[in-house]
Amino acid sequence: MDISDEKLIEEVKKRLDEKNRAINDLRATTLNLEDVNKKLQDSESLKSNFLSNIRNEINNPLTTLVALSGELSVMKSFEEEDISSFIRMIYLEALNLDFQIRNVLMAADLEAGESKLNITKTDLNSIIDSCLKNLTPFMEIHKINLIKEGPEDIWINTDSDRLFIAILNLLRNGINFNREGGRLEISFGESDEEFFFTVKDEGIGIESKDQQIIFDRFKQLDAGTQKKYMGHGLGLSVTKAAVESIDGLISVESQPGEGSSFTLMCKKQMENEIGGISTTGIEFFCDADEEF
Amino acid sequence: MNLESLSLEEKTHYLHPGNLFAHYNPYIVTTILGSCIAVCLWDPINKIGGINHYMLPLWNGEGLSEPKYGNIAIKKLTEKLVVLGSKKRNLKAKVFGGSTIHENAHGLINVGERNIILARDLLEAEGIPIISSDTGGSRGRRLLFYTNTGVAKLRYIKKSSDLF
Repeated sequence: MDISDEKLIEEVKKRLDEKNRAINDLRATTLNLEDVNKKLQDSESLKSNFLSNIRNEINNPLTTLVALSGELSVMKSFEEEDISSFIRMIYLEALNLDFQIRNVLMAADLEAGESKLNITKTDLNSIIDSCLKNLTPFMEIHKINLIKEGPEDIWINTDSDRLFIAILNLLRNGINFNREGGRLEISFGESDEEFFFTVKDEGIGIESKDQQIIFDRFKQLDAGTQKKYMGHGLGLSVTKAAVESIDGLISVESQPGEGSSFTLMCKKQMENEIGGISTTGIEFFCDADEEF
Repeated sequence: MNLESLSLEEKTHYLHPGNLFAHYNPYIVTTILGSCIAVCLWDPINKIGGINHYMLPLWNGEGLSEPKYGNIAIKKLTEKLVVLGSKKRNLKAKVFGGSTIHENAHGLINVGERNIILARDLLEAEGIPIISSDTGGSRGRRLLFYTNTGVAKLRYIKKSSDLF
């Protein structure tokens, strides 16, 4: 097919115009979105800042800790049973506080975006076990029936602190939102490039319309004065951000009344830095390194 | 200077996607860009600089406000340099990245272009001039940024599977 030069130029001009119009439209949309975003940020900072949102979760265990240890310090006579129950309560509240502070610090870390990933070789099983060790007292309280299925050794190169906080949050939710005496099923495994970790509870479940909201920060479905479950809604947003920072994804499957199942899938071999980009030997140079 | 001839004594930092880096000591920061953008900010008075590496243009107000979003990353980097002693009015910007790694058959504007537009619009709104840039195209970039001199060096990369 022959096309004259004029027609060709005309077509190119037409397409350029279309592209410019699309860019302009997008720019206008972007500006609108920026406005919306600014309003969102403003309303958020007006409504409540980070600290006021988490105040109760830090204050409550701390107050209990001070009160219990205060009681102990002035006790004249010691009944062995009393002492052990006091110590148990102190331990639980200390674990609560530890959990909340871990989440707050991780959130602050992720939002600052300045900490380097600390990638080390680690065993997935040992991370899961140390999370479970941390949560044993809560499982006893809720009479959780734990089932853990997965291979002995899954060696991964990842930031274990971030993976730990993600798994800890998922397990903690699986306990908190479970029914008393409910089952908590943990399964994990690997493929060539990835590993997965799934936790399934028998709790209240989540309606499909709410399944994305749960990852927003400070959003908890069970909010308000009649709040039945503890927590400040930071856990799942920290989990999602932590998982994404180690090349992973998190997903949820749930039906109201039938429990929830959370799965995270992450890259098995992360690298501290991508040095040799030119692994195939194909690399283009711009007069060696062009200076800008 | 060739990439491979860096002196071992020079401090280096590898910038992961979604992070930012600024320091009052001289650093050579390396990052790999695909459709992502790196905004380098440099203060010629105090001779300090910083760089971010964002993946998406805008934070939608959900989840954590991480610097993997352009509007958060540019704001945080500016604030960081101000904390390090820079005056915002002295800052100069260099912008790199935003390539089209995956061609869209329908010609819709892709994430790379949206990232570029966001950088230009936001820096203009902040009053920070862009003194040089290399954006768009279909190839990835390996970028080196010298925080004390503001010099940025880059090479193009054809292989795209490792890019962000």
